[in-house]
Amino acid sequence: MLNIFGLSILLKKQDYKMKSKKGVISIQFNWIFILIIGVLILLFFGSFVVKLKNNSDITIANTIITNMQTIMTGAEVSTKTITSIKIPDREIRFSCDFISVGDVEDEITKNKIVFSPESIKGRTLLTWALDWNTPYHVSNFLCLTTPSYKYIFINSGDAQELYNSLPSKITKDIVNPEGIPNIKDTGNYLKFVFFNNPKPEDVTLSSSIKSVSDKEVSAINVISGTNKIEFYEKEGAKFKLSGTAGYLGDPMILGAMFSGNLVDYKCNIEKAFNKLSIVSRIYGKRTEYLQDLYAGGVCMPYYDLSIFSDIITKSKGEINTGSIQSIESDINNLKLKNENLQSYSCPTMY
Amino acid sequence: MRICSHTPAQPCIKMKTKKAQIKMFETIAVLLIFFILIAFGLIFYSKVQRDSIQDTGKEYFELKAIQTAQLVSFLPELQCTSPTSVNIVGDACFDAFKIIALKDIIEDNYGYYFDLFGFSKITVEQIYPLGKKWVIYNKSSGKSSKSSLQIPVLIYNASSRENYFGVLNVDVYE
Repeated sequence: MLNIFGLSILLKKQDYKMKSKKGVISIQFNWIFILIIGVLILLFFGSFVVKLKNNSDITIANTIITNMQTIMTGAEVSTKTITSIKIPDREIRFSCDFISVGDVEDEITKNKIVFSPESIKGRTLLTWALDWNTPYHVSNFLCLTTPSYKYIFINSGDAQELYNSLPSKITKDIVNPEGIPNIKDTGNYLKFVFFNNPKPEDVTLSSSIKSVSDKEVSAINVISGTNKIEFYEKEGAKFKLSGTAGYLGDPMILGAMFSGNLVDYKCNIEKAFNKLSIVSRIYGKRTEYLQDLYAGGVCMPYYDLSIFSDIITKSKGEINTGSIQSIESDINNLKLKNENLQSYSCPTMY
Repeated sequence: MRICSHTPAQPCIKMKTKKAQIKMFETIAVLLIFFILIAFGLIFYSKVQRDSIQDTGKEYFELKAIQTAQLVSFLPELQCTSPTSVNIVGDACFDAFKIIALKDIIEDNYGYYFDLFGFSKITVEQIYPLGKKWVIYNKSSGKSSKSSLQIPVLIYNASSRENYFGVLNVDVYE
């Protein structure tokens, strides 16, 4: 019995030890289990929240882009009006063919000619639509800017006239050439607009402007006689030529002024001239119909199809100052012929 | 505990294991219910989201249709210039000769106009005096759902210098 009793005591001791070990393992297992499940639940909710945030960002970006497209279409059709639009405080990036918010990008169609800085930030967007006539209506240019962009006209040539044409909502200033070294940094992005300046490289900016980032200051120089615009970038206290492009009419000068860079400007004027070729084809066909209707009459000699075909050929080809000047002379010729048609009470070509 | 202290060790361990198993099942059951609830929540949320995406899609489609109609009605290729002042573009006025010319131009520049109008049908109909109907652009997506917009326009005939009443029909396909 004793032995048995002794065995039983031994068994009980072993049992107690086993139980205590099992208890420890069980408690530890419980904690490990809770920890694993807790981490899994946290990971699940964490990833869910991250995904929701990403989705919400994409939705917001999509909404901004859709609204921007609507704004662009709306503003495009209401010419010569400036509209101030409240926008979300997100960076909207523009290029000639694309508009993007964050990672979301959308195409700007070939018929939309939008002159805008590369990046638009802030709560107010200013849209200004200009109609481009050569001499018939070809397209509307949409200029985008914000009050943080300041356009400084250097008073010479057509500066005053163009300065006056700018709506008052646009941050603008006009200064005499001698006044350039006195221009101080106001925290705005600055765009200098020179007219027929022989060498903007010789202009020295104030020390205040010199300290501003080179990306925040740029300039254009309009050379009226040759339909040429020079684009300048800031380098310290001086301007450095980055390239040249052509222009046809004041809306294109304003387009260059609102453009973020030379590449976007060139791409946009290519779109404009492509549209000119299409619209000229329409007017050419229209003139053809009128020519057939008035064959043999007094109006007939004034219906000149060659002008339209010349404009079409030139606007389809490479766009440079030479081709633009040639188109301009065709336009003047067309204006004369149209005036003659008017004087003979004939239906006009445009 | 009392039962356990007066009984041999084997049944006691068995009972403890059973209790632990019950506890484990309890925990697993709680977790299961928890995940089922989450799954229900997710299904509900995704359904709500799907409905909202469908609504937004419809809204965008309507918006696109309005944009297309707006684009057509202000198209320089169609607009007539005022007979008195050539640079003034007539509001909601189409030149009859331009309408005829545009049909051919669109055929030659289909890619350009597809970017503008997408899947849509654009027609101009002379209402008074009853006259012609011009199909300017026609590209169907093959889907039946469409948004139709009608805009009253003036059709100007440059040779007779007469104005006719017309309607611009814009059908945008989804």
